[in-house]
Amino acid sequence: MNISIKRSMIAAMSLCAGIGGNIAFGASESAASKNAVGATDFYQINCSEGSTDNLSVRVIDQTPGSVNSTSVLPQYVNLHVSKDAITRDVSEISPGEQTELTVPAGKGAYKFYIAANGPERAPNSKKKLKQTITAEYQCLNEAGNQIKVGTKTKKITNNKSAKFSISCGKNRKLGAGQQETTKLSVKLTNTTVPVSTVDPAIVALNAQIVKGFTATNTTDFNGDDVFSEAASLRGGAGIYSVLVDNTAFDRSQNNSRNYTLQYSCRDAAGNEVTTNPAQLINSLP
Amino acid sequence: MKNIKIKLLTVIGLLSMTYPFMSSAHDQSQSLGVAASATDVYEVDCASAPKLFFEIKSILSSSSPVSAQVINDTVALSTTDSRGGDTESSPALEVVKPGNSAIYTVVVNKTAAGAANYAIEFHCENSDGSHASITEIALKQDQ
Repeated sequence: MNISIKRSMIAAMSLCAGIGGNIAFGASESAASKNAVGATDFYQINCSEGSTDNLSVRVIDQTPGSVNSTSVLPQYVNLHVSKDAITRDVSEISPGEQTELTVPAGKGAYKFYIAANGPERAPNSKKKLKQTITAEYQCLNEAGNQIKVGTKTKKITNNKSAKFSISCGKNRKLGAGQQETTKLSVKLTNTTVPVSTVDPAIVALNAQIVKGFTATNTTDFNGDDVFSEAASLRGGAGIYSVLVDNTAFDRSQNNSRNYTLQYSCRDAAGNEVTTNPAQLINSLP
Repeated sequence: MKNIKIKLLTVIGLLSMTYPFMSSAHDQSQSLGVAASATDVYEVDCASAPKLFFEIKSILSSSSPVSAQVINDTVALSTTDSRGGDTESSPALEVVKPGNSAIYTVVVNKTAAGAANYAIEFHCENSDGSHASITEIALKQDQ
């Protein structure tokens, strides 16, 4: 599949997955999965009301004594722009995120200071992690006319910083009396391709919603009181399958996970509709 | 002769367009997009064979653990390759169908944001563990 199409679809699906993130879940199941690698609890939830648009679920791993979820480290950059006494700051621009800012400081050099935060290396790699920033800029005059445009790209190693400047000099094409640059407008994108910062030794709890041949997934890491992101699958009214499983791989460990599954059938407006109790179909192996 | 050859190629082309995802191969490589919730779904048809052998391998050392779930009727099992980029695959699954449905749903996902490449190996099996002659797979959801 074309990568740009795929990313657009992913963005749209991510929006769908975010549906109902702030809405209460009316029903829940608490259970302990079996002590086996590959253990899977198989539920069916009947969203019987005709107005059902989607099923939303989220899970939390409540197994005592497990590692903390802070093992998943965030990556982001902080931006500081200055010229003369005018400054602008933007914090925590994560991979894939974009920010736009305008600095009204006339012609001359605008200084950019970018600090990259995140893990030094991915868990399975010796290679140092870097983040890539792309700045598309326009030097504009008071009337909003472009005096100069350009793009700058910078790679910054995590936990290091980088400086660069964008110069809005005099435009030779301007005639006498025409307006000079009054401001810099920048669209800055963190174009870093995210890599996992999850330690593979950490067992994660997963839940999938499946209906027909469509499915979505959400994951929770043990060690806090926070549920996973809510996942929603738009399948209309009917029976949804929900699986709860985990990434355990060591047969010598106790791989049973204590968990709570919350779920809610919702209409297109995000309101909860009739949500029948989940039926445990199977718990294997 | 040239006209017959062109017509034959056209027919083959049309047939391949009609069944774009059908395959009898036992290996398939695919990628998951960067969203943490990215999920691929396959339909595997085992015709009259009673069980499906399945394992998955995560290709990139930088990706989070890659998991797969195999569902048939009332049976669901999961397997995970927790460490990408090495030579090891996930633990193998042998999923025995509980009823008469020949169709298995295979769901592939990961635990965090970031791209992942993976390869799945699968085949339908007879009761004695020998490979069944027909295994068909169709990619139904590609995220």
